[in-house]
Parts: sequence; structure tokens; C-alpha cells
Amino acid sequence: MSKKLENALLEVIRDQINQKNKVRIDGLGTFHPHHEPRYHVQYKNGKVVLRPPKDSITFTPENNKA
Amino acid sequence: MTLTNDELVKRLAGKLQKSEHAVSEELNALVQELNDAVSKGEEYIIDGIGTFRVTNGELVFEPDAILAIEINHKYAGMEDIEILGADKEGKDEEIEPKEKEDKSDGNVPKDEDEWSPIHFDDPNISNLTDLKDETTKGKNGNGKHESEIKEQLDEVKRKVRQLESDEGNQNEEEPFLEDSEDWDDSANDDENKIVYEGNQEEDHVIDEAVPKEPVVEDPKEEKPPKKKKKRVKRRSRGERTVSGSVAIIVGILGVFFVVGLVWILVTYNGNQPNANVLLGENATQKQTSKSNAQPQRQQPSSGNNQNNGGGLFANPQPGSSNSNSDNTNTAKRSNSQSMRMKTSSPQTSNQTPTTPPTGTSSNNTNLFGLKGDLSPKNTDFYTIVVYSLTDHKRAEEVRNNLSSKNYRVSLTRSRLNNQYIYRVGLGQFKNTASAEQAAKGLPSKFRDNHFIKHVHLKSTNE
Repeated sequence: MSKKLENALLEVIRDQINQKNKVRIDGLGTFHPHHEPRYHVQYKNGKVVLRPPKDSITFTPENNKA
Repeated sequence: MTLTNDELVKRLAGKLQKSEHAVSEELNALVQELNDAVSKGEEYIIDGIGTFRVTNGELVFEPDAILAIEINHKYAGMEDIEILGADKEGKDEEIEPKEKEDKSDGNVPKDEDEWSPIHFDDPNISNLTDLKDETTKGKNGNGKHESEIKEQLDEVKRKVRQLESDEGNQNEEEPFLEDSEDWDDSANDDENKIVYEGNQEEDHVIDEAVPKEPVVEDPKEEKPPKKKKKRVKRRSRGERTVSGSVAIIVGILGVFFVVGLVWILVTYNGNQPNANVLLGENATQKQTSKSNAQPQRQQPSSGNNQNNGGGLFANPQPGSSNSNSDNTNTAKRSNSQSMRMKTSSPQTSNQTPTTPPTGTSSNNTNLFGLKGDLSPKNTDFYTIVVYSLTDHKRAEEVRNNLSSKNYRVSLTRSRLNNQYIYRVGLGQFKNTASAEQAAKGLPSKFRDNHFIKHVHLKSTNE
């Protein structure tokens, strides 16, 4: 696989994920964005913190098989 | 929106400046290579995108670190915000660890309880006070959350019961605490000491006020005596309040007494005619107004007007030449003083109440007067002070100058703040009224700027 294809694929996937779009590759699976909103976490010592939101990329294989 | 494989190929072809067919073949080759690798249990890494591997029979993708940051660019660098501090010792261990497994389909999860114990995207939940509401939400959502909260509630209840039992024993020993409005059931809880610190301080004060011996009494003791003890404690508190108020009042009265005493002493000393006070030009004016306000002050007896700080040490006798030698040593004097001497022309006072000055007359009529020689027999008189100087030579010079103008000039010395003050006075008068009357006939320079001073001289025999 050429390095150019890797770079081009990276750009397309990154741009589409940032635009909250999914990217499907036949025979492999689907990349999709994931937004994790802020939330509170309470510790056993009584401490309560607010976790910031987070955007990430996740992947779902096509056949759930290797 | 989903970018399909065909659209992906078009975009890649546009970027690579290749045909879609060629790009599609390259992409299929990539997928085939990846599947072959992971099927062998190997990891397949696409630079910049991430790593693919098979875990538990499932193809798993781990994004590249840089790509993860680029996607999370909006929230990159944000850290946890502490809302409530820890009230117990221990590490930051979450009550319910957040589920890391991603079950979303790419969109914001509809039911966020599945991965977040508390979510705040709901606009109705805006602050931490809604945390309690999450206990009810947990019933419908996460059973594990509910169970942990129940455990916590059970633990709290158990502590409360324990504290209640402890409090019961303590109340038998300390019935007063039972009536305290600020008393809280958890006051003895070590974990909540900070919260009830104020109450504990108050209790500490109570313990100081009340002997602890009754406290050590058997808790099984009957209640009536304990109520009596409670009343005693209340009385002790009231007594402390009353005694404190009395102490404050006594203190205030004492302060007033001391201030009044100081004021009386100051006033008494201020009325002393021979008080040794440094009087400059401004002070002279003040003294003048004071003497004007009391023109009828009678001449006090000589025994009560001993001038400790002052004394006639120059020109004690008429015609004395003690100061002649001093005149040869003319000291430096300021221009203003020089002008003063030039303008102090001798004027005969028409208001002189006494006989005209004669030499050393033993007649009583010569004891007082503005002009003439100073009567040595008159050791108790009032004079019109026209100069207060710190330079002895300068004072001698002024005295001689005025003497040459036929004034009765007295030069007295007072000590003030380890410094001698030389006062040049004109005339000898029986009382302040006659002195003030005589001062009206002085040159304007002296008439407007003088003060009356009582002089008591030591006799020549002393």
C-alpha cells in the first residue's frame, strides 16, 4: 500500500469524523464519531469532579470477525 | 451522514489524482492485507490512523494518538474540575467506575446513563444539587449504581444509629448539650469534625465553666439530679455573662475616672502662674488671650507661687552691670529680631498704675511699674513677657536694649525639655489686670504679642 493512499485515507477519515460523519470501508467496517458529554464523578472519599466532554473516533467491524 | 465506500473512493481519487478504479483496487488491497494480518493474530498499523487487532474474536481499532487529539481538538487539554472536596481520607476512587466500553453507534448516546452515572447535557440538570436525583434515575438505569447508593445510605444510617446511641450515653453525662440548639447528632463523628467545629468550641467553653467532676458520674444516675445540674450550668453561664458585663462597666468607669483625673491635673497645672511652658511667638498670643479672659485674677500668695524653673538671674538689682560684659559678645541675631529691636521704640505708658520709676526706692509705690529700674524688693509680681528665647546671649541683648529704653526689664529662665527658655518681661505689676492695662500702652509689636507671667523671685538672702 502506498504511503500516499494512507495519507489520503487519513485526511478523509479525519475530516469526516470532525464533521460528525461516518466513514464506511467495504470489507473492513465503519468509523464513526463519538461524543462523550461532560459528567460528574463522585469518589468514595466524597470528592466530586466534573469530567470534560470528549470527542473520539470509534470503529465497528463489518462482520465482527477477523 | 455516512460516507459510503464509493464516495470514499471518489474523494481519495481526487486527492491522489488517480482514477477511481485504481484507487478502489488499492483500497481493496489494503483491506485484504489488513484482514490477512489480523487473522494471523498480528496487529496491523496504518500510520496516522491507528492500529487494528483482534481481541476476543472481534476486530478492534485503536486510533492513533495524534488522530485522537485532532478529533478531540475542541476539548483538548481540559481537565477534571473539582466540585466538592474530599471529606474523607483516601484515594480518588470512583464510586462507580465509568464504563470504558464504547457501545455507541457514532451519535450522542440517547441513554447516557449506560456509560455516565450522571449526565448534564439535560438542561434541567444544572448543578450538583441534582446529584440526589440520580439515585432515583439509577433505579431505572444502572442497577449497580443503585446498589452502591443503597450501600452508602445503609452505611450512613448505621453511623447515625451509632451516633444516636453514643449521644444517648453522652446526654446522660452532659444533659446541657441536649438542650443546645446547635447540637448535632454527628458532632462526635470524627469525619464531620470540621463541620461542627463551632459547636465543639462552644462545648469546650462550657466544659471550662463547669467542673467536670459531675460529668464523670455514673450514666445510670437518675435524671432529676441531672436536671438540677443542667440548671446549675445555665446559671453559671448567666453568671458569667453578668460578671462579664459588670467587668466591662467597671472597666469603662475606670477609664473615665483616669481620664478625668488626668484632665484635672492638666487643668490645675495649666492654671499655675509659674508653669514652665515654652512660649514662642504663637504661644505668646495664646497666653495673651488667656490672660485677657482672666483679667481679674488676683495676685496669689508668694508661698503658693514658687517658680521652680525660673529665676531672675540678670539685672537683679537696679544699675547692675552684670550684663555689660555680655553686650560685648554680640551674638548672631536674625534680621527679624534686629528689626524688632529697632522698632521697639520707647514709649511712655500713660497707663502705668504705679509710681514712676526711680532708682532703688524702698517705697511700696516703687515696687510696681512699667518704667524705671527693677525693684529688687519686689520678689512677687506680674510682668509682660515680650520675648521667649532659647539663646541666652540674645536674651541678654534684648534685655539691655529694652533697659536702655527705661523699661523695667526682667529676664527669667525656665527649663523645658532639657532646654532653657529665657523670657524677657517688661514691668512689675501687682496683678494681671494692671499688667494688661500697662500692655495697652506698649508699642504695637508688644501690644499684640505678649503674655502676662507671674514671677516669684528668690530673695537675695536665699
